[in-house]
Amino acid sequence: MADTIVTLDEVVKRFGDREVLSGVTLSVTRGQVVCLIGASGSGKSTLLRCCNKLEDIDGGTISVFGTDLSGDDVRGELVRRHIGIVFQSFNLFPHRTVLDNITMGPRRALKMVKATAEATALDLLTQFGLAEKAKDYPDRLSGGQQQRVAIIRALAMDPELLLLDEITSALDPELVGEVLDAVRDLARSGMTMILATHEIAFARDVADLVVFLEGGRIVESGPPEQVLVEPREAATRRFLSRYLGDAPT
Amino acid sequence: MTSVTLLVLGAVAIFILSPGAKTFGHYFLNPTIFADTFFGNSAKNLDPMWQAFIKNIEMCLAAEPLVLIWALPVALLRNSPSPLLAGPRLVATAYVDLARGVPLVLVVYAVYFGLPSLNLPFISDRTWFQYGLFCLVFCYGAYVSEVYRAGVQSVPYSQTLAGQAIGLTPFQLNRYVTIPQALRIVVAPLINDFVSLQKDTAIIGIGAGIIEVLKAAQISQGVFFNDTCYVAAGVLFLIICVPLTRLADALQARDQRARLAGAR
Ligand SMILES: Nc1ncnc2c1ncn2[C@@H]1O[C@H](COP(=O)(O)OP(=O)(O)OP(=O)(O)O)[C@@H](O)[C@H]1O
Ligand SMILES: [Mg+2]
Repeated sequence: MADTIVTLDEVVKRFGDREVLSGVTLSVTRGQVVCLIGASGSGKSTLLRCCNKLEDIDGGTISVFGTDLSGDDVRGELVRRHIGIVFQSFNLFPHRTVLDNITMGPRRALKMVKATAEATALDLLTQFGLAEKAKDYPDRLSGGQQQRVAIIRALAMDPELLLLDEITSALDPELVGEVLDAVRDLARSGMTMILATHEIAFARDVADLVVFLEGGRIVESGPPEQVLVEPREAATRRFLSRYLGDAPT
Repeated sequence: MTSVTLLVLGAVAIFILSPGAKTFGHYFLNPTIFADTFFGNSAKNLDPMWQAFIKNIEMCLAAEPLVLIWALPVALLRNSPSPLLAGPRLVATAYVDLARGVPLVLVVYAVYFGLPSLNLPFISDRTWFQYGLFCLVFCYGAYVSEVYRAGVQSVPYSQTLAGQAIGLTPFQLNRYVTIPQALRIVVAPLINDFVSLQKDTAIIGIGAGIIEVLKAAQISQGVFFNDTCYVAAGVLFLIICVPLTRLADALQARDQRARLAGAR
């Protein structure tokens, strides 16, 4: 367990009276790819946001790189400098060029000098096939390109953990492939990732661990061959049959 | 375009052909009186009107920065969700409602005639200029704080999340993400408010008892018994206002175009 990056222990999160996470326990080791699946509202996004302290938790503990995030003295922005997150809706900065979008974090949060930050950004853009878009504003890009820029923006911080929240859900079907390919490459390169996804086939392909959430609880977790192919729990089967269109009995 | 031209020509025609056109021209559009009012007439001991207008300019130039600064804490308070600030927030809201609801001219009366009668140290013996600034900042601070508020609120929350996600501190988040995006939205409405403020400096003169442009027009009218003096005052304001409103429109159009073209 030396290389455990994230440990969640009985994590509880409420919004007002509503309990959205009810005792989630999970640990992620370096290089692991964890896929969160579950119906809308099951708490996938909330779980991801708790991991980088975009949300504070109401019970249990989360530790990341051995630091307990639950303490009030832990500053969220310091945690987030090591943990990238990419959202469903890209959220690029519309008033900045692609290059500036990517270098803002390294330059402002990590105090990297401009030239270094831009060199790194251009390397990443080249790697993702977007080098010629560096000077464009985000609105000039297709959804798939924007989402890849958002991934690069997260990677430019050189994160040790990447959180991806349904990053293909807002894309036209023909653009999903290019983004998933980028994520697949990242998985191969050994990036530790937790991703919420509705792409079951993709999860089966890249995941080391699949976690099925329902009503803020982990119903079932295990390797993809088990959870996605021969689920033990009836709830998982029900969920999968809805997504795959056939009902495994 | 042509219909507009027709409309304008029509209006001018009605004007010229009206039975009283000659009298109207004499009393409102008299070139000699216009020149005498504008540049002064030493024979009649009349100072140039543009000199009086400088007082209006000074007032609006001094008031505008104060308005821009004062509106900021008001807007921040009104926007703050913190329960700790519930009391101050209520005060800020009450202030905005009051200042936007009461006509400036009434504020001017209250300040110029009310405050001195209180016989308080400091408050009751300010200069006309300071009272004027107070009136303008009081009224326009409320308007401008609402412009700020709308600007900040129009930046989507997802932008804040994205800024937080790359480890920006709350200050950096404002500095690099929220405020730059709010600013583009706010510039044109701010110019529009500045134009109104500029015109409303004439109302200050009502209470201040100084010779600013409106008073100068009245004096000139008393000399010539001719209303062209008021037209001259109007022209002075237009010289400032029209370019500014054009600028505001151009900025707004640019922003709109950029948005549509996706070239931001
Ligand atoms: N900021 C918030 N305030 C109040 N309730 C919230 C908030 N964020 C999420 N919730 C609620 O928490 C529950 C879980 O939401 P969450 O976004 O984590 O679900 P999800 O699994 O990501 O769903 P989806 O697949 O639709 O993205 C939902 O019922 C949602 O309404
Ligand atoms: Mg979600």
